Amino acid sequence: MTSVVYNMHEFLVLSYPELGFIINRDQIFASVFLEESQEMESDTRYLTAQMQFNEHTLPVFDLEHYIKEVFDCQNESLLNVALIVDRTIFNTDNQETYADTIIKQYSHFSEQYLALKVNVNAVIKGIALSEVRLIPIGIREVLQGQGILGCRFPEAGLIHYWLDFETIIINCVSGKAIGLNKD
Amino acid sequence: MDNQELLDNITLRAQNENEEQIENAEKINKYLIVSVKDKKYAFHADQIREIVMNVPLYYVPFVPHYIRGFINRHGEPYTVFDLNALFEKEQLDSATFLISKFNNDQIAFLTTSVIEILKIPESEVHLITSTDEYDSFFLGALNSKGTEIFILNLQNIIGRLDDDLGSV
Repeated sequence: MTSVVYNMHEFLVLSYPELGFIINRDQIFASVFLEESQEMESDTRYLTAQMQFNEHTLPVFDLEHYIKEVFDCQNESLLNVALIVDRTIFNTDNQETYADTIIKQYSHFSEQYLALKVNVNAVIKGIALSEVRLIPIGIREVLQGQGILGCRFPEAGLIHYWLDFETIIINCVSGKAIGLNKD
Repeated sequence: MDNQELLDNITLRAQNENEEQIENAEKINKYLIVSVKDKKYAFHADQIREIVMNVPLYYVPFVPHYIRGFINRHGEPYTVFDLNALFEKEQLDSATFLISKFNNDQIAFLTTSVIEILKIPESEVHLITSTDEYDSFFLGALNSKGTEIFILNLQNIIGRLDDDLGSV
């Protein structure tokens, strides 16, 4: 008898001490250790550095800072990993927004690639889609609008949030990011 | 009148009496009485599926302060409302959750403890007619052992979240 595992999909898993995140593997072009990057000042939230990737200069969005700020998450690791994104996979509206903001403002940046910095190892894992849950309907729209598409509970006491960094980045560059939990 | 006619007559009268009794019978509702810090509230028992204790509460960003996060029930996330945070602006330190029975959303309520289940005739429930926003969170009040207990209006409580998120 054979067991058939169907509806599996590859995700990048970022594990933190108390929670984790999954990102659609198809959204990531490559993952490299970030050995050298130049810090930069920017008005765009989480755009904190630039790096060289092959012959391209890439903006580096500090996803680690976003995770710590938004999820109140602790991580002492000094590991620097850059997730390289081919932004031509963005939807048409988001490509336009990105071109009209980042590329217009920083013409030396690659039009094709950008980077996300994290301080944990990104592990590729096949996850059954049946394990991934949508956000409950009452708060789904607001969370999806901020790039949190769903979640899963891989083991007792642990939650993984499914992040859509395309939305997160576009919110940052277009100023649509909203405040955190408020009174 | 033969015996059959008498039997028919008596049967018909008995049927009519039963129907009248059913019509006149007072509706009795079941309420789950809970404490939230030092206050008591009543849930319609048919709106609660189960009571869960001591499960982890997972933080959720971008939501109002009275949404405390998710709990995991059989792999499904449930949004947790903190009634004390909503009513008293102070977050409740507890791990007792009531899982609601709504079909279209997965919602749980954080409470201090579950006290008892009461069966209360409809006539003993006092309706609230105020249009005050706070009062809209309650359907009415019932009396138990000399204490007035407010009955929660879950539709309006959930509606408050819709309003708050709509203003984001």
